[in-house]
Amino acid sequence: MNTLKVAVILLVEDDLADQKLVKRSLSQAKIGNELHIVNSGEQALEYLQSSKNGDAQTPMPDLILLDLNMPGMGGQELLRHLKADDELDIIPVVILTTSDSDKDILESFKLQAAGYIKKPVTLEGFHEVMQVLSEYWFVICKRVSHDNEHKNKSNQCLISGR
Amino acid sequence: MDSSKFVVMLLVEDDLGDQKLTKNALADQEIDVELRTVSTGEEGLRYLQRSCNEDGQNPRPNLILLDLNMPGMGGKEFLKEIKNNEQLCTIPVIILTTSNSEVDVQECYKLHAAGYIQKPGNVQKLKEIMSKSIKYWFEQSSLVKS
Repeated sequence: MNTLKVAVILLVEDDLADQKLVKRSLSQAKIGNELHIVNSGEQALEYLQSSKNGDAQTPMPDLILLDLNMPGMGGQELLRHLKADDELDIIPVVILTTSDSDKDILESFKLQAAGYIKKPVTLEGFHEVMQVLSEYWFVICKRVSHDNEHKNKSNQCLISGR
Repeated sequence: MDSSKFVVMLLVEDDLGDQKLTKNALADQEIDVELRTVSTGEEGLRYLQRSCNEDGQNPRPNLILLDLNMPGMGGKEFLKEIKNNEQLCTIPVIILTTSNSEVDVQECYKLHAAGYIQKPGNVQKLKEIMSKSIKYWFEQSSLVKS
C-alpha cells in the first residue's frame, strides 16, 4: 500500500466550477494528494515539459484527470500526445467528462485512457468518485516512482499557468 | 449500482492456488462477476480470438486480470499482443502479480496496463482489492460496450 506517499494529480479542466468540485472532493478524500490544475491541453503540455525538466513547482503527476471538451487542444488530442511520449506514456490518464457518447468512450479507450468517468451532477457524486478513484489508484495499485518523493505535503492545491 | 448488472472478467493465471483465491474473492461481490480462467498467455489469446467471433460461448471480457510470471508467453508479452490488436486494445488489463519490482511496474504501465496490483497473501485482502477495483471500473468508469 502506498498511502504514505503523497499522490500528485494533474487536473486538465477548463471549467472553473468543475475545477472547484474536483478540488473540494479530493481534499475530502482520505488519501493524501497534491492537486495541480491547468486550464487547457496546451497548458498541460507546458506543465509536463517543465516536470520533465525537473522543476519542483511542477512535479511529475502520478495520475492525470482529463476533461474532453476544451477550447483549443481537446482532451483526446492531448491524450494522443501523452501516449506517444516516451516519458509521459506511463502516467495513467482518467477521462472526466460530461460526454457519455459511446464514440468518446471507445475513442478514449483506444487511446489507452485508464478509465472514463462521467462527471457526476452532485457534490456528493463528486466526493464518491474521487474517493473510489483515489482508493483504486493510490491504495490498491502500485504506481511508478517519480522523483517527487522528497515531497511530504498533503491535500494541497496549486493552480498553474494562470 | 444496478444490481442486475453482470460483468465478465478473464483471469490469466497459471497458479491453481491463485486461481482459486481470485475466484473466491470475486464470489460474493455486489456485482455479479462471470470469471473465465485460462492458465497461460497463449490460452488467453485463443480465448480472446474466439470471443471476437461472437459465438456466445466465450463472452468478451469487460476486464482482464493478468499474472506476469507464467511459463511460455509471459504476462507482458500477452499485454503487448492485446494492446496491439485493434479489436482487443480497448479492454482494460489489470496486472495481478507477486512481483514488487519497480522495473515491472514501469514496463507494465508503459504497455498500458490499467493498474498494477501486488497479490496479497490472503483472501480477505484480495476481496477488499477486488471490491475497490470493481467499484472503480464498473460503478464509476464507463467501459466500451461488448
